[in-house]
Amino acid sequence: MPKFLLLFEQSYMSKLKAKSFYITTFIMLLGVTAFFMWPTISGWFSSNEKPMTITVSDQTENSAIAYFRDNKKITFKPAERSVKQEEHQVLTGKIDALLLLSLKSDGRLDAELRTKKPLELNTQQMLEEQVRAASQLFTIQQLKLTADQAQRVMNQNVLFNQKVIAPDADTGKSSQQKTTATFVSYAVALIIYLFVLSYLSIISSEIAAEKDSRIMEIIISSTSPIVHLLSRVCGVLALAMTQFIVLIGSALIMARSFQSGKYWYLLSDLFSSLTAGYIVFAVLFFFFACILYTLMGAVLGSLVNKVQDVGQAVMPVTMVLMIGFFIAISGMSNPDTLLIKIFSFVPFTASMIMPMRIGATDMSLWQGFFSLLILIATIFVLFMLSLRFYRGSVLTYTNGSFIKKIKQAIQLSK
Amino acid sequence: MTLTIEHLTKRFQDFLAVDDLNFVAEQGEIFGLIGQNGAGKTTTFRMILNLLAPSSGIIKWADASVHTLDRDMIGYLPEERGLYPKMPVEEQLMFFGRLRGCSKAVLKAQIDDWLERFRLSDKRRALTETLSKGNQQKVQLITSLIHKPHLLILDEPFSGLDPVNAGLLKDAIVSLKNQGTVIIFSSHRMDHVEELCDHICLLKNGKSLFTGAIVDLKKQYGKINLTVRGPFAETELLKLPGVISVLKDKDMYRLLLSAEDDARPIFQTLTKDGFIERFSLDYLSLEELFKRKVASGHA
Repeated sequence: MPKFLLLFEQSYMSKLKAKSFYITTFIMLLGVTAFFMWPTISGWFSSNEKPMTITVSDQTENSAIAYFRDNKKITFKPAERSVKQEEHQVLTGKIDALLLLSLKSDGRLDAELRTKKPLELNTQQMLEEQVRAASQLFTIQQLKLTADQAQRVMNQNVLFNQKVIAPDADTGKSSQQKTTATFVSYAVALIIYLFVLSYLSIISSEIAAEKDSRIMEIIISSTSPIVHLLSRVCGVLALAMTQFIVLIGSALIMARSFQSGKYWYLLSDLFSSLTAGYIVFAVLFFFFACILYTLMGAVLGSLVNKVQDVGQAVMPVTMVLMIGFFIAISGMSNPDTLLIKIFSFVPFTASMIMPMRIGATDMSLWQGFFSLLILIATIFVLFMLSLRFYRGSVLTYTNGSFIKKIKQAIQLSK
Repeated sequence: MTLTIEHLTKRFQDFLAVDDLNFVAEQGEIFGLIGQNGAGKTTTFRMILNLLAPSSGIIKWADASVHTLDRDMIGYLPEERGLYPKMPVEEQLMFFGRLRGCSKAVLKAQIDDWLERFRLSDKRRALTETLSKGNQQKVQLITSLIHKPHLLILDEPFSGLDPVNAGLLKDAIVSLKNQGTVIIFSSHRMDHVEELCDHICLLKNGKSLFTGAIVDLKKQYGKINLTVRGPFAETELLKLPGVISVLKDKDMYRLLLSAEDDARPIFQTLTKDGFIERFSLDYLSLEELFKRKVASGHA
């Protein structure tokens, strides 16, 4: 058996059989399961939750209370006592809140909520929405519109169409396509961030441990250091892909099985609104990001003397990853900022940002190709550099800065 | 098959790690490379293993460059233990054996044999990290020789071994030597070097202080190690002509003479009153020679 295959098999199988692999996969599967079962899980907790009771003291003389609708979280009931007495009820905890409705001089509805303690943001927003809707209905009633007129005001949907009139221009993506791509790109960035972060540390630790225990010396006395480097990179990539396939496979099965396949149709809709080009780019960026960071992890692992130094060594790379991820998050609200544009060409962050630009903006595709090319070129340059000093770096045990170690490694590799 | 080192030099910028080293290790010979920490032993090993390129000089295997030697024909035991702690012993031996080009079928028989020889048969499925330091060292040694190498490099093979296990290891090394393997060996334990090696190279700061047969090194100083047991006083022995120092060792005295020729008149003086229990003249031990050579630092 060629030595590359032997080393690859050993690297892949040893980690596949490790408890840590099972534990991390299990935790991730748990997360995926929780995502698909969320409606059921939240049902368990909210079924016993009592809705908030709000007493409405209506001083409008026009029965404004009629426009407030009960829901699962809030129930409205008319006040039966004076405001003072109802306030007392609030303070003693018998009712949750008191809503005072009155008319302003210009005929608008004025609402004031009196509570014992501040409301949760979610309830606050829901209540504001209720008051706004009630206010609209109240105003319509005050204007004495016919039922048809009122209906038209309430259900007024704006029909907005965009048309590019330049003769050679692309027609552009629809707003829905862009929103979907933004959402999917966020998921892609999150997957890249989580995978790269965990596998970066796995490969660095593996190589540092082999160096620390001098196994490395035995291996590279038997085969070339580059065969060792490639076998380790491929072993870890194969492990990452295995975990990825397990997670995606399980997610698809769960989407099909849970909630009567609701998620499956949702996913089908989601993917049908994505272009094939976007999917190909997202996959390629994911794949090359894994290669880039695994290679970086291997090189960093070869430069440290002890396994416990790995965390410190990979810290700058982790920071770069985090920067990329946070910039990708910022693109959720606006994927057209200058920051996003710049970092979509930086090879270390492009994989998390460029798919978002491809899907959620109308940029020309050559930018995506160019960014991918820069990423591949960076991997190539890094690989060529590793060829130069990997042999030396695994034999370097001096302390000092990374620059000093790299210099010494190059010296030893000559 | 012979390993020949000619004018081997390794320089790291301003630091001369190995300086014009020359020696020959013949087939079926155990060659000792000895020196203090930092003397250049590991650098020399790394150059022989092609992990480091020499700054100048030649390393030859059977009149060709050592790089023509199939890597699978080399065995290497590094000074620090290089084993996968979470891997069972048998799997570990199988992995390193396959790494040196052996098939699983061949290795299976070899593993059984070596585990039996090193009394590790009951540990074959144990994780390496659960073994004692001595047992780990034995596993490490098996990994370096399971593929029957033509050239075996052993860097401190006896560290962590008790006398019984050290004996097992010595037997294994001698057995390989008898099969024709060239063995290069380094150790701080001079008694082991003296027992196993025919020829040595004594290194200090990368430079050879002595290269040749141990017996020739001993002859340089002559038989100046005298042990006596009898009714003598230490002060009386120290006054004898040619005696440099006297050391009381339990019921004996160890005398260091300035020359071998001083022994005869001392014998006559000590036996003038008749019988004495012990009068034993010998060469300096390798450890004593090593200390003297390193202290003087002259080739």
